[in-house]
Amino acid sequence: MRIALLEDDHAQADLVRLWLSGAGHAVHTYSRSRDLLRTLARESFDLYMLDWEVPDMSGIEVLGWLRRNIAEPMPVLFATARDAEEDVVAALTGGADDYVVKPLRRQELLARVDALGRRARAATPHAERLEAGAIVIDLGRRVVTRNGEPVDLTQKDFDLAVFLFRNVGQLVSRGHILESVWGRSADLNTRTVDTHISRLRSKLGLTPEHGWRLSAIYQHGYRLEPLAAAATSANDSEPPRKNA
Amino acid sequence: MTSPGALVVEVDAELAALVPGFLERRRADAVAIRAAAAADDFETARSLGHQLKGAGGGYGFPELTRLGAEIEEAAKSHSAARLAGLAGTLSAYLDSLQVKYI
Repeated sequence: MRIALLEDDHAQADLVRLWLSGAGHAVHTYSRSRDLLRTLARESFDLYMLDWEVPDMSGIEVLGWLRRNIAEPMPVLFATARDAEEDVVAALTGGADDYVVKPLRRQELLARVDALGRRARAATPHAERLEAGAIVIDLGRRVVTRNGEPVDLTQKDFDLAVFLFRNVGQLVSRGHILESVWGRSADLNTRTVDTHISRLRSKLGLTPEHGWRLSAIYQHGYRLEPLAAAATSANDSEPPRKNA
Repeated sequence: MTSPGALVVEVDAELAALVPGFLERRRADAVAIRAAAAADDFETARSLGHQLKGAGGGYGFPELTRLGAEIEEAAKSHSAARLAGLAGTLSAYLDSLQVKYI
């Protein structure tokens, strides 16, 4: 998963990054809340991990901002040394999906992160086949058909199609796509994403006349929507933020 | 080799690259807590204690988490003398520490 970590204690951030990276996650660390919020104007993540006590704006305020301004229901894990019952309750009622008290324990943290990811994915199709109208993605055989006809895709185009169809309706940043499809160590720029998106749009017919809209969102990324849903946000040229 | 009087703590070898820097920062914390106590700057001392409480155990040093909790509590109760004592305890612990990576 692509994880945004809000943590002002560098020692703690180093530790969490080591553990999560070792488990295959891509971790982006922010020591100031406002840096994280600024980043969200152009980036997206699979999970947010928030510390409570951060100098410029508390984690609980960041949580409130995320829930008010980000349309997608991304999981939020609170990780803090505050262990009072009222703090745990405040975070969970404020919209956090889980709460873990520091000091962190490696296996427990990884298990909680995996559980949150699992729950988030449960809301999206994760079977052996993804079906969306005329498009069927067979994950086991790595074959995509459109109107029953196989579509010739490269390996990366296939992975990109799977990523987009698992995130239908959600705004995903170019960086998010790049890390999820090409991997964390890929030495590529986001133009690569644009090129592959363009090719996929053409090959899979992800256009209004075929019932899809694959929109480029300026300075942010892409959103794939079925046309009925797209029609409701036809004038939406901004990320799906309610108040931003 | 273990020095006489050293307190040996076994730590996950995966953390070998991080631990020296972590302990070095905790030595700086001990100095900062002592200075904060002398200046009645209890918020700084509380914050440092809070961070120590949160980070110590994760690195394999539960004693640092325990000391951090005590420092946080002493700061909340505005006890400068206790803070100064705990800063000394923290320094002494760090000085006696010998890390063994396993």
